[in-house]
Amino acid sequence: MATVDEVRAALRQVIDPEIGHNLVDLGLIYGIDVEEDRVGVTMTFSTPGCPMHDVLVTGVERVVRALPGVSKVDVKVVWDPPWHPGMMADSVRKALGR
Amino acid sequence: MIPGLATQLAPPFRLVVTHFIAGLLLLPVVWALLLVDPSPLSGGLFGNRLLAVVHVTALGFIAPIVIGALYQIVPVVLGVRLTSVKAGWTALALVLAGLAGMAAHFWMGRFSPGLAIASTLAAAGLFLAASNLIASLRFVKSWSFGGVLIAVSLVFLLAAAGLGLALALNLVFPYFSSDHVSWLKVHAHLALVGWLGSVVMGATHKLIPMFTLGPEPPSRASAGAAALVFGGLFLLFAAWRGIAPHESGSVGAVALIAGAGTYAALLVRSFAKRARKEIDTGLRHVLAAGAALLAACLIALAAVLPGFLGPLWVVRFSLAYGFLLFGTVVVLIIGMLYKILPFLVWYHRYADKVGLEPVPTTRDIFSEGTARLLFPGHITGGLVVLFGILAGEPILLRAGATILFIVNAGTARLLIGTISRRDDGDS
Ligand code: HEM
Repeated sequence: MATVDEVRAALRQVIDPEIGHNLVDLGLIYGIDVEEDRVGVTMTFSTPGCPMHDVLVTGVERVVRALPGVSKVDVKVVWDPPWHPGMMADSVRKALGR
Repeated sequence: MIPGLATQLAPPFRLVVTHFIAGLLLLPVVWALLLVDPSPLSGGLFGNRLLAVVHVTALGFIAPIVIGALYQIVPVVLGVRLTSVKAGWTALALVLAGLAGMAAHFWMGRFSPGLAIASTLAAAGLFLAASNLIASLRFVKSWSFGGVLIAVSLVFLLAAAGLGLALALNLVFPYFSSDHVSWLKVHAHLALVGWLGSVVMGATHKLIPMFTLGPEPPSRASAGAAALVFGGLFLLFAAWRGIAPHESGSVGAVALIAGAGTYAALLVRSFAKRARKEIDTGLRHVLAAGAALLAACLIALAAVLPGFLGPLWVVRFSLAYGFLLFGTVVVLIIGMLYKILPFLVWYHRYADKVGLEPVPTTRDIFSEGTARLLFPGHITGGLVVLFGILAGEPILLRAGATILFIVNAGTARLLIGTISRRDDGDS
């Protein structure tokens, strides 16, 4: 069985192509649940209505499914609470000039 | 992330980037023409060579890039597929073939039937492109502010191209009465304010918040600003055509500028609330375009204030006004291309590989450093040409044209290089 930390580390491999930072440090990952071989990821995006969601959601599914002991990945995209810049890691905020 | 720029509904990548490449290659031609002969910007208005320069910019650079971008953006923003990819290719070929003929005839001052044929081809290309997009809009389920403005822009494009064709035919087989200058002004403003103004408002409303991670400007207030712009534009047309009293033209100009100013203020407010504080080169271009637009409005006001300027200065200010309006659009397009194009190339090449292998970011495939180096060249070249126009000085115009030729050739090389970049293992 994978641990939450392992899942989080795997999610760091999914990089927002334009901002150049990973989804975890951008504060887009709201929750990770691990139950036996099933992993649930709750995440959001900075703007609703984005077809790029598909690319990144697929990326999330792929990196998590590649972990040993994971056979099912359930990615849930939520809009509540809405994402805001305060959710980003300090390192990203600094890099983005905030 | 730049959301909303790519989707399964988008047309083939090749169709979109071929439009961009055509435009990027034709922009340096504008400056080459002015190097050969700077008189179009130091002489009077409506000279035949000025017409050549104006239309190489409008139909060679602006139209292919804006239409190519709309082919990409319309499916995404409005969730519909482009009606016909084949018609998209045909339209581009028609516009470019027509433009070649129009530019040659204008440049040589030959208003022969060849000009009528060339103009018909170019207008047919624009009609085809606009109707192809309009046909897609039939299937739109939910309209946003950006979507409505894109639809409005296509109607303006049809009107501008139709009136342009009528004016070209009139040069060959004169049929307009002596007041054709008023039709000329209507044509130029249908294109520059109606078509491009609505494209700019529609696109920036969605794209600026995306690029900066800021809130979208409120739709109602944006719609009010757009209504002021278009209302003002129609009042101006009515005054020029003698349908409304002369003074209503001034009211129209004020309404138009107030609308543009209100919209700019809404964008600035969204910009101020952005999460992404860093101002990259693309955004610097957007800010420079805003400054050029402000300068164009001030110069236009000075040129139309009765008795404020003598006849020579009215001509120079009018040329400067046109140059700044075109400059606004050109600089904005370059800034937007810096933002959009690397993303499109990224999506085309790497979207399938996310999560399977490390993929580069857009910054890895586009040299921001080169773009940053080119930016001061754009500004310097633009200012030198502007002072050349105001001073009526060919040496300054040639110097500015040289700078802009080099800088725009550099821009073309940078962006076309991004499109054609090959990685190890690329097929
Ligand atoms: C197929 C499309 C077009 C055709 C056939 C066309 C044709 C013409 C003609 C014949 C004139 C001169 C009229 C005269 O002197 O009596 C003219 C002027 C002008 N056109 Fe177009 N046009 C087209 C599209 C455009 C577009 C798309 C733009 C701008 C985005 C544009 C901007 C202008 C401007 C600014 C002038 C005035 C130039 C000056 O003051 O000398 N045109 N056009």
